[in-house]
Amino acid sequence: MSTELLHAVLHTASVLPLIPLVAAAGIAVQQLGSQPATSLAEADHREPAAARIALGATALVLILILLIDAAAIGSLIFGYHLPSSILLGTFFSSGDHVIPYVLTFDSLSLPVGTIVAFVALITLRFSRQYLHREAGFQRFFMVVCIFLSGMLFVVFSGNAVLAFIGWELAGVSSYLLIGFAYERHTATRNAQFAFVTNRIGDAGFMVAIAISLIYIGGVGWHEIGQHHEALISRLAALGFVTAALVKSAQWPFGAWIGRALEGPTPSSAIFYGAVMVHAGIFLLIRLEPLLLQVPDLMILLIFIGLVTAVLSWLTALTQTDIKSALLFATLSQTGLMLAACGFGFFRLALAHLCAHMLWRAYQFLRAPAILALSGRPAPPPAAWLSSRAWLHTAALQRFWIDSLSQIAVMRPFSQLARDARSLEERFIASISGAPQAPALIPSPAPLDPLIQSPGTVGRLLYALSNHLLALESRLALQGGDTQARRIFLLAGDYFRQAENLIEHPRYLIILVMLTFVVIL
Amino acid sequence: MLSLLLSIPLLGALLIAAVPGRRAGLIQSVALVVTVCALAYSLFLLTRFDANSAGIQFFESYTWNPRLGARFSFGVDAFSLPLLLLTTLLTVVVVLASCRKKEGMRLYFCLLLILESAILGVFSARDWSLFYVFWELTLIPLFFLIDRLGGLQRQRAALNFVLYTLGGSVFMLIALLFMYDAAPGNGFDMGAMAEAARTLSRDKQLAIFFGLLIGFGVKMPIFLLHGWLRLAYTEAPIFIPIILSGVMAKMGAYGLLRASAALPDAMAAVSGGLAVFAVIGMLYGGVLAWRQRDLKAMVAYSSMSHMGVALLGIATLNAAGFSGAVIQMVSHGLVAGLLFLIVGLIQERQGGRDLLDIDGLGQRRPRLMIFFVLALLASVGLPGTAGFIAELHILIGGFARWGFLAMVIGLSVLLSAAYALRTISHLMSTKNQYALASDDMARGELLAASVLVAIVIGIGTLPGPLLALVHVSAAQLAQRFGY
Repeated sequence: MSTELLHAVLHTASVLPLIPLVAAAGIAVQQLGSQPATSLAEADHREPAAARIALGATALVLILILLIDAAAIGSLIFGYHLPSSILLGTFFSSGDHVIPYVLTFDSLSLPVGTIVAFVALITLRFSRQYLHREAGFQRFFMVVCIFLSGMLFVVFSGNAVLAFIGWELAGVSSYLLIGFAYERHTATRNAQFAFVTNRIGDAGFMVAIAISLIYIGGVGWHEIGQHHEALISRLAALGFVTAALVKSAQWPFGAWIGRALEGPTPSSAIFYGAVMVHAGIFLLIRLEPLLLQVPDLMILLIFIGLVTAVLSWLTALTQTDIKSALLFATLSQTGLMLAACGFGFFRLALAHLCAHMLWRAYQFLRAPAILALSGRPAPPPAAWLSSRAWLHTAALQRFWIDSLSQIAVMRPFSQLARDARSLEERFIASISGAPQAPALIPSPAPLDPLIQSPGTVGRLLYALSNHLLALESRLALQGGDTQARRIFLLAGDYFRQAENLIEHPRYLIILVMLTFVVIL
Repeated sequence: MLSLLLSIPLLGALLIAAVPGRRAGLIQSVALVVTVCALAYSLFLLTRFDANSAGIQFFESYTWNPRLGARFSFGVDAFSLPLLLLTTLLTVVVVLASCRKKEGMRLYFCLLLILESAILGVFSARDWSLFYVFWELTLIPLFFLIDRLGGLQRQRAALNFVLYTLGGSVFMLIALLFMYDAAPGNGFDMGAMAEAARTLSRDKQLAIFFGLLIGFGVKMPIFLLHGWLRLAYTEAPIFIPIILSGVMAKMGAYGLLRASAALPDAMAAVSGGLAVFAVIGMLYGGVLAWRQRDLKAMVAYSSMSHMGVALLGIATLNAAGFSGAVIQMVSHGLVAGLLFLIVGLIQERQGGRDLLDIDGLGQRRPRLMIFFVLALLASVGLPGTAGFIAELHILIGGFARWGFLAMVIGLSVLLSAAYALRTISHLMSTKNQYALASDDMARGELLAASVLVAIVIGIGTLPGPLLALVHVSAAQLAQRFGY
């Protein structure tokens, strides 16, 4: 096989992260283009199309990856040169910064990518039966396609920006799948919770990208790894590690994953069991050269990994439903992987990761039928655990991680959002004249043929009297909804709002700072 | 003498409270006898009244609170006597008209008589503290009358009425206390306080005057202080607006007359502004009366318009204007009483008081129609009715003060003619043919309406006695201003 041909094939194949996106778009077009199904038979008739598109795309991706795998193995056996990264062009450039669209096919991305595509394929195949006649069947397949695309970007990306795109695609699709049953309040609330918590990691990722761009001059994995400036490396590593810890739900960012089980079981399998929860570990393995420069951070990784592993293990012991038990078992495994990274055993972590992905995917997909298969209920927690009441309670409470992050993350965010919204509603909307909920101003009196008079004077008098009538209706103090009462309520509202704002530490601090600014 | 007049209705109320509630007929008879007694006694006072004296007559005074200098003193002059008569007369009319109701009669008549007593107290008090107490006392029976026995929105109406009036009274009380504090001499006696207050600086007078004006303005009502008006008039028990509009609106104007005697500098300073408010109220009320389909609301706004005319008369600050204002008060009391009486009777019979409800009323109930037409014409101020005399005097006074600007009264007459004639055209409508109804005005109602019409036309054709009665006091008050 000539090298040119190989290159051409690799170039063609490197659009593979885009294939599932195209498939998702195809499902969307198919959905939008058709009328809502009126009968069950019609709906049944439509399901296979969406599933077929998604499955076809995933299978195509898997085949392409397997081809590249074969080529890579061939290069090992026959000794020809295989480029480890394929440059397809410029993704975008801004000033001096150029972000290339470059994919990496190396011994790290190829095995993980293969397993990701494979797990996605079997999960989709499983879902085709599992979600049959569920509301949102097509939506599920579409979102999983988006997710697969995101994961492929993360795995095969040659630089941090492409990885970040994948990272976000995976985050958004996990948000969509947790809130799959959006008519349920818990589902949407949990989806929001997961999304908001994940934004912390995203912020870390973005900070790291910015540092790399500004101080290192590039975002390629290679460039990031080769930079030797302690402070910069440390800051960048800190950002990436934050992102990885959140995505892999390590302590203390792990709360979101406990709530993410709201999604359908296949999505749990693919997101938390098998694929997405490993994205953080994968990122750390990818950043091995960078991490090796900051040994103290690696010690932190060991610590966090071990804490996560122990706490999740204890929690898993006390869970009574299969999905939660599997989830916490997964977390304890990822904790171990993290610790392995911390110790510098990156290859070990990779092997662990690959094996674990396959095994957990199988377990999660089997979970719905576990009772039928095993024929017995969940075993009680071990005696040594249940005899230690405090530990048992803590494990049952999942070590209060959930309520802690509720207080630390969720509440400030929703407070801020509420403040912004009330600002919008009360001031900006009224200034800009944006349409609002209809105000309760008494409607002008309807035309009254008994009162109306002919002639200009009559018409003028009628118009004048209508205006006066409107004024009159405002003068009376009415029990119900009146101007005066509304003004009082509004004023009271404003005062209460101001009071509330001042009570908040952040606004108090702003106030104090403003005072200082004025004084100085 | 006057304290006896006050105590007649009060005793009557006690008497009625003792009668078992189920004997509605007896209660009505007692109420009728008591109110007729009060009317007779006030007529007796009229015969003993010396029309050539501008001073206070029938004066009596008892110690009430020596520490504050508050006294129980009563007395009348030519401003208050016509209003006393009006009060006793209209109360009789209300009693005569409310003979169809059956339930809640005891409460109704009790409250009505207490109300009468309180109003008589307002008009005859010669002590500001006593005046204030009676002023507030009128609120209590009215609140319960509206709140317990009123229409569908009675609670809202009662609350509105009381909140507005109380809100005004607070300012009045503060002003009275300020006056008490500022004027040397210890006591609330009206004469002495007026003497003392006249010596105050103009700024102090103005401060006091504004407080009083807000209190009085709510009752009159002056434009912007009239928010309670429509609801109270339309939701009060069916015939209570006769008292509300016929008498209680006069309390505000009467108080203003008394205040202008005590604070002439302030009055002179604000009379221009008062005139502006009077004209606005006049036209505003007129336009809104024209706009209403609900007859009671129409009469309510026309009442506001007519009180604007009275206010304009007071604002002229000359003898003609003051005389005109007092005659307008009397005339409007009679006419508004008559209008509310007729509308109430129509409402009782037709079940509604929309403009549509009176279509062809003339075919069904000719007596009601005749009285309604007469009342409407009187409210326009047709020559030959009391309103004409009043408006003429106010026009003369206004002309003397502001020249041709006073012609704006003509606009209000035009407006009132517009709605009166429209109503009359509905009354006379022959679009549909109706049979004669058997329940035209009963004897008592006929008597009440005839008396009112007779007095309105009597004053309109023979204004001499009333003018003579009022003129002395009006001239004396006008002397302080010199317009």
